[in-house]
Amino acid sequence: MLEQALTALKAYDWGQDPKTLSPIDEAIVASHGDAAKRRELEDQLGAVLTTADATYDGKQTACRYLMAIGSAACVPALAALLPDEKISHMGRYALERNRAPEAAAALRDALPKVSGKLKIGMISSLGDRGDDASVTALGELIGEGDAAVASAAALALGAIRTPAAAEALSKASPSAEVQPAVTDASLACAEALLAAGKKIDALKIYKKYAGESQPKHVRLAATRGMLACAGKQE
Amino acid sequence: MPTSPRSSRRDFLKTASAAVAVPYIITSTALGNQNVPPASDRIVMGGIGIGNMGGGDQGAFLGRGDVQYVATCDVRKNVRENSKSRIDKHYNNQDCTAYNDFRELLAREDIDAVHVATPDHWHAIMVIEACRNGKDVYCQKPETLTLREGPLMVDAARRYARVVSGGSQRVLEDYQGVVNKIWSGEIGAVKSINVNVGPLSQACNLPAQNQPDNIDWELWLGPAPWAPYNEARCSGSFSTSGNSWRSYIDYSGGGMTDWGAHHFGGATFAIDVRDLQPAEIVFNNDNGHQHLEFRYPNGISLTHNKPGQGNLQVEGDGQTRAPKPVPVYKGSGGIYGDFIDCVKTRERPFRDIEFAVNSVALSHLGSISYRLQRSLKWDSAAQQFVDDAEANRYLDRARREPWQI
Amino acid sequence: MMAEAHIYNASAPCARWRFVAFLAAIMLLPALAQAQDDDSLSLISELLREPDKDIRALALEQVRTQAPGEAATLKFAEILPTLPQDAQVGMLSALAARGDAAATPAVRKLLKDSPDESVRVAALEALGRLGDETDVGTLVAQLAAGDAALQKAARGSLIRLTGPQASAAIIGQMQRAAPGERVALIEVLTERRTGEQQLLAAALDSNSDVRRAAMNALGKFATPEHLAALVQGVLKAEPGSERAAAERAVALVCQRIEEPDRQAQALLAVMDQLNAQDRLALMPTLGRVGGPAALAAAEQAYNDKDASVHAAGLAALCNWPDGAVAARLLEIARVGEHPDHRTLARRALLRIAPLEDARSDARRLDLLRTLAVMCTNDAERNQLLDRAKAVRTVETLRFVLPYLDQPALSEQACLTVVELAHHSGLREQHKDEFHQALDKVIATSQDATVIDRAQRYKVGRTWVRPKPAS
Repeated sequence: MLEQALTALKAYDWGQDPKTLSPIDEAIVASHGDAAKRRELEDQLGAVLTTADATYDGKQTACRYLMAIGSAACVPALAALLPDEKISHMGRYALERNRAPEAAAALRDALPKVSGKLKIGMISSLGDRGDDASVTALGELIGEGDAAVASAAALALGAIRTPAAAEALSKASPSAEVQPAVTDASLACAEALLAAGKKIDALKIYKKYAGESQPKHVRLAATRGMLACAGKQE
Repeated sequence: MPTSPRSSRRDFLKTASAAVAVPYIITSTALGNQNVPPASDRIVMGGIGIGNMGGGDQGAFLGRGDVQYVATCDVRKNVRENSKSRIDKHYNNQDCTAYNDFRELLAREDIDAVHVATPDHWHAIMVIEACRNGKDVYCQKPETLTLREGPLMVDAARRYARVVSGGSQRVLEDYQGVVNKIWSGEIGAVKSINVNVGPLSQACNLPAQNQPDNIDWELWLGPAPWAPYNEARCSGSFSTSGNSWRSYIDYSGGGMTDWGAHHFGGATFAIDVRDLQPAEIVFNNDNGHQHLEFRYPNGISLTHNKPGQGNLQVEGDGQTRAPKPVPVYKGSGGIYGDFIDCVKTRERPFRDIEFAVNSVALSHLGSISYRLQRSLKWDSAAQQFVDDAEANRYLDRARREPWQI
Repeated sequence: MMAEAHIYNASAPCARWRFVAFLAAIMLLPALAQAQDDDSLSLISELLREPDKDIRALALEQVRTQAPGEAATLKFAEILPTLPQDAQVGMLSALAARGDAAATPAVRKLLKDSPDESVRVAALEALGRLGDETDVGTLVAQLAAGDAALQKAARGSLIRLTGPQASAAIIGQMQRAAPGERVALIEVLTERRTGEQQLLAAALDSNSDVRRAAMNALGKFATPEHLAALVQGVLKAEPGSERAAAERAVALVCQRIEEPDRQAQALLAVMDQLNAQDRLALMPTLGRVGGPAALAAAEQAYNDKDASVHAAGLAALCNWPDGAVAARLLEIARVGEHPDHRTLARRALLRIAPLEDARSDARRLDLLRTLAVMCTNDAERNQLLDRAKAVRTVETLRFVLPYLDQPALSEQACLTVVELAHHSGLREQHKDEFHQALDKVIATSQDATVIDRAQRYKVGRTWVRPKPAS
């Protein structure tokens, strides 16, 4: 049954009944805690990605399964999808949730090799992973000419929310178009700093956004932050 | 005389034409009368996603004298044009602007608040972006598609001191019998309450159809995995068992979240755990009948599809307790009035986003337990499953570029 | 250092955000970076004077959740009377949420001194969270005030008020009050679920509104131990709606007995202590309780040759809470000796037929079908069609559909069809049949709401039932 389903997956196309793939779903559940079976399944799913004549739908669906069970082993097959505009997202779909360091490395490696939307995708996934190792690269991207990419990089730093991310944001010189993302990310970092007891560092950020040149909701955020700082012991 | 924040925004309104591409001018028809406050005192609103629920929400806000509805947004051309016509007809002017892309609507500085009633895969992005733009938000339920989205939405609301209300009117209005029974102290300390709801969302592999010209399909899909156009895929039918976006996993949690937002919302309100999330999800399989028990840190159980139990069937310890006053909506006009009143007073609405997120979290936690067919432990402070890397993969999904939260 | 903050002039709008900039600058000074409670309180106090509601809301959030302790509460309470009126409203609500009774004297004083209604409403609401039994008199006085907002706030606070003697103080006020006020205070005690003994006395009051309110309260929380006294309330109630409401209250109390068979036994034990006339008067109440013991007593009475006992037995059967007596009532409706008794039984069956109990949907619908033949006029037929909506099956739809063709019954039949269609699970399961039925409703009904509902259900949309006017 499973073998038939895996074969069907290679030719899977829009309009076919998803139930034909049910044995794969069942195998995933049944193999919980059985590393060998999981690895075998992972390899079989990874093989769909490298099969030349596998359908787009089949590869996309294989990525969904690998999101659930992928380890370091399937990272090369998924990484190969990242530069492909058509299926890059599904490569990230599997890699972003994979805690293997190799998965993060694959996303970081792809970052300088892609541009535009695909670059935003890598940035977004690295941010969502909270990937410390990409902080420097993301900080540099805030100065990027493409405002969408720069904004995405700032927001990703706001998702990472470490002192290093806050530092990278404070050093950035964003364009006016990118500034709202930098502001939001900086405020997110300030919240994390305050939660970690780094009151002075948080206050520095809040002060920066309390000025009259800021939009009202930003000044409110800064005021709220300062009040929180005042009420919190160092 | 102190200057109110509204009047300072109105000052902007008067002089905005140089700063924005389209001059938004309040016409004489918006000046108000004996029964309607003048435009300068009204909450300026826009709506995003004007389907079955969004149309209803729009009608409710449009009917309020303290709201000036100025913008509508939908990726379906006929829907947004009909929506604009409805609004213009209501005000007897041509002032409403229709948008295909919600980001343009959210960029308008004259808009105070928006309502969001798109398919669920858009909610978090839009709510967070609205907060980043200083808007208050009324968001239809279920407010989230994934667990990770919830705290980020709450963060954004709190960060910018925004009023963000979830959208289930049923939480307060439909379960008053059981709510009164519990809050009056009649049944004593609650031991358990049951919720019957489903089904889980399903995979969607509908065939490609010719894409009509009147829908921006890329924008409809947004952060969801790419898929070809199919009428049933994007249908706003209330079905959760197929042929509607509510049925499919990329856009919805199925009946488990669609009705779950109501039932779990009502149950968590009834047993007064709106500010909590469970610590444990116990998966049971009795001869093929699968059901769950959510265990809260305070010892209360919330069961799901427990055999022999009705929806919102509650069990107490029988020791009568002192009654607690049941929270009610503020303002007038149900859940919409509650939201608008809070926009004015800056208080938290009945269905504050944090409460909404906590109740939809039950739907998500339960769905993950059913999908993995096993019990789970949940650390609500860390928003992680305890020692369960596999379950933690289901906390979120990578969004299709260029969408990000 | 924070004393300098008072240089900010809250009444100067242009200075509003300057305060925040000023705040930002001083916050970075090393001493303030170590700011502790006093500084934090000063900041909050300053922000509370901001004319901008958004800024005030930030400070109120702090009042609600931060700066714990009585000293901080007293400081907030101290500035309460100095705030602008709309800020006072927010502050009262925040102090109430803070829950520290140290603020109560300031709240009481503001309630007394403020000329502004919204402030007094907020103060009354805050007293419910912060006050104690000494506030009962103040709150009760507001109950009698003409202003609806003040009344509502006072009522809410009387319900909410804590403290060991709060209930006793309210009960005392209830016993002394004039009838109108007594009803309001009984309603408060109903929500507080206390005062059984005093309510039992009120159930025998000479004023029917007081009696009715007391029985309603007791129905909500009295226990079976109170049954003997409760039945006196039934006997005191005027026949008609007051008596029926009192009977329902007794039935509710009986239902609190866990073993179903013992529910009627408890009432029968009380009835055994009564004289014959009162026993008969309680037969309709016994019928509302139902169960085997009640059935035996009702049958015995019905079979009695004495006309009044016989009638009491029938009244008991007609009040039955489930379908257990359906066959017996059907027999009476068909072959009962007295025409009035046949009518009573038939009408009782219209109520009982669709009640959800151990009977299957098919049996409940069968009974409706049987009754349809027995109805003697269109009012009964319309009632039957209305009751049919409670049996949510496609067979009910098929049963109701032919009535769309009968002009005197078609509107009710249309309404029943849309009520059935309202349940999407049923509708979706029999989509084609419902679509055809809804088309017929659209073509037949004269009621715009019914037509709108039919159109909505056809395209999978829902309909929100308007709430009944309170």
